[in-house]
Amino acid sequence: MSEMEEKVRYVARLARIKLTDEEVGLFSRQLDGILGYVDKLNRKLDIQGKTLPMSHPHEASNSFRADEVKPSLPPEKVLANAPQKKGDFFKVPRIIEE
Amino acid sequence: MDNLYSLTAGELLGLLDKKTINPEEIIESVYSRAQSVDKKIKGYLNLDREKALSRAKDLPSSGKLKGIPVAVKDNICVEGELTTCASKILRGFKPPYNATVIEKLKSEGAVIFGKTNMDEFAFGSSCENSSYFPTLNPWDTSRIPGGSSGGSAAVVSADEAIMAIGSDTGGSIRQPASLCGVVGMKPTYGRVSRYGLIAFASSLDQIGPFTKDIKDAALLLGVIAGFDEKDSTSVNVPVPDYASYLKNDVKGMKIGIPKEYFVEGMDKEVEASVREAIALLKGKGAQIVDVSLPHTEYAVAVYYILATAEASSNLARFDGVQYGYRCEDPANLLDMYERTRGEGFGAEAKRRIILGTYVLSSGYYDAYYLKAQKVRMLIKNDFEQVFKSGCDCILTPTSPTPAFKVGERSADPLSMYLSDIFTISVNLAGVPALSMPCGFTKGGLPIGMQLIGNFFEEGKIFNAAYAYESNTDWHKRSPKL
Repeated sequence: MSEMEEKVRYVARLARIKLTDEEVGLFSRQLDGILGYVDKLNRKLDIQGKTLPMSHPHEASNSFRADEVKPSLPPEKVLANAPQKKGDFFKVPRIIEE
Repeated sequence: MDNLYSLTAGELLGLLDKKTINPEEIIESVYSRAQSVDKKIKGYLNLDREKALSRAKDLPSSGKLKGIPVAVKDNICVEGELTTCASKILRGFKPPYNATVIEKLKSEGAVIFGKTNMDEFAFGSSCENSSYFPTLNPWDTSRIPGGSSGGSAAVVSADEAIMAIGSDTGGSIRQPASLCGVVGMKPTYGRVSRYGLIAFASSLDQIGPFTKDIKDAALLLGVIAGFDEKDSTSVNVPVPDYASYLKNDVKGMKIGIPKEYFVEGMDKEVEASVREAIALLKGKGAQIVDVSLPHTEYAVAVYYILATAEASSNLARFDGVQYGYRCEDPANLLDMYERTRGEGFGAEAKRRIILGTYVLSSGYYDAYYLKAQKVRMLIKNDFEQVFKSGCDCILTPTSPTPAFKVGERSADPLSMYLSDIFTISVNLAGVPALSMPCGFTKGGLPIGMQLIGNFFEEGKIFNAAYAYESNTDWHKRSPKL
């Protein structure tokens, strides 16, 4: 397994996505190309200490609204899309092993 | 009255005012047009005549769009109506609430008319990444309509919709508008509420209009724009009367032409059309100046780091618990997450989540994510410098090439990413931009130009665009279907 394939398997695990062996092979070749391209930021541009990172187009500050009680969605509407439910809850496989 | 489907919203509103026609007739006309041409275009994922007609019977007593059907990209939540982002993982999902833009459209009397196809989760520039079927370009059905809002662009171009809304994260409104020969605008970041837009990259996404002309674009943006306390990134700046900017007069307007957008290897016909448009505006009294946006060449790299990083985080919510697809017989919770996501997401979605998770992972964060955030600041500074120097607008091509062939770039993600080279910087900076038709290739494919404005100065863009449109008739051409 190439170094990139190992990375793709590791990252897929972090992202909770099951990949087939074919997908691991394809994505690692494609990601090699994409990372090679985006690495121009490191190869061609020296901005050490010159600039601040930008996470948002506007000067970000906290955005508050009045702390008032408003109606929320009724449970039956929220649960209508659930793949599995039980009563007023989403049902998932057992989390704590026996 | 025949051919109502071929009219603009402005024209239809005039007829509705005079009571020559009623909203049901518009719905019937546009619906039957879609029935006859959408077999070839495949712009709609869902279109229900009865639903549209019943909505047209239940309109407010007045409204800026009263009786006008508006098609909606499939990543915008419409209560009780399938909203899937063209993804298998959201198959069958019916949102329990309306996006703010849907509420705004309804309160102004618009009739929500069908959901349009897109690249899955807005990941793509060709509409080929839809999990259902690709949409095709109305001007040449062997070509792609652009993406990711390819469905919205194609249905407006093919007269299967009067207007449509889409979303634009790196060009997803402007590039398909350009390739389909219609008007499309990405407003200033924060101008339109994103509440109910299924998030791709939250610091870049904006909802915007697709229309047949500039007047309609100003009208539709006026309806959907405005502060929304449900979206903490929407900005509380008053919405001007955009119609007041529709003046056929650009005397003294300063328009910047960035040299980085006229590059080696770009399509000669695209370049020639855009240069002619510049000459036309100059002839009408606009002051044309050369400007520079020096960090343009890094925009695609910055974008594919930041957008995929944000997407990998936003798409964590699709885990088979609350809605959408869940894999069969999961052995345990982890198996459910991994197989649900492995089976539910398409190839491009998986590729982007993997890339986004990689650039955020320990050991790579500084070299990729943090570096990209810093270069994003430099890109924004470039635009600020140009507007500080007195430019009212910046004019560029929208896409380096006209619509490409189906399948031509789908095997090579990087070549697909590079088709957004002229639109991506605008999202990174957060400024508004519009694409409009400015010519055709010899082969009959539409060419689009992009007008970029300063923060919250959509009005100036509309002014320049309207003046150009008033002196040309590209927008009046329709594809033969």
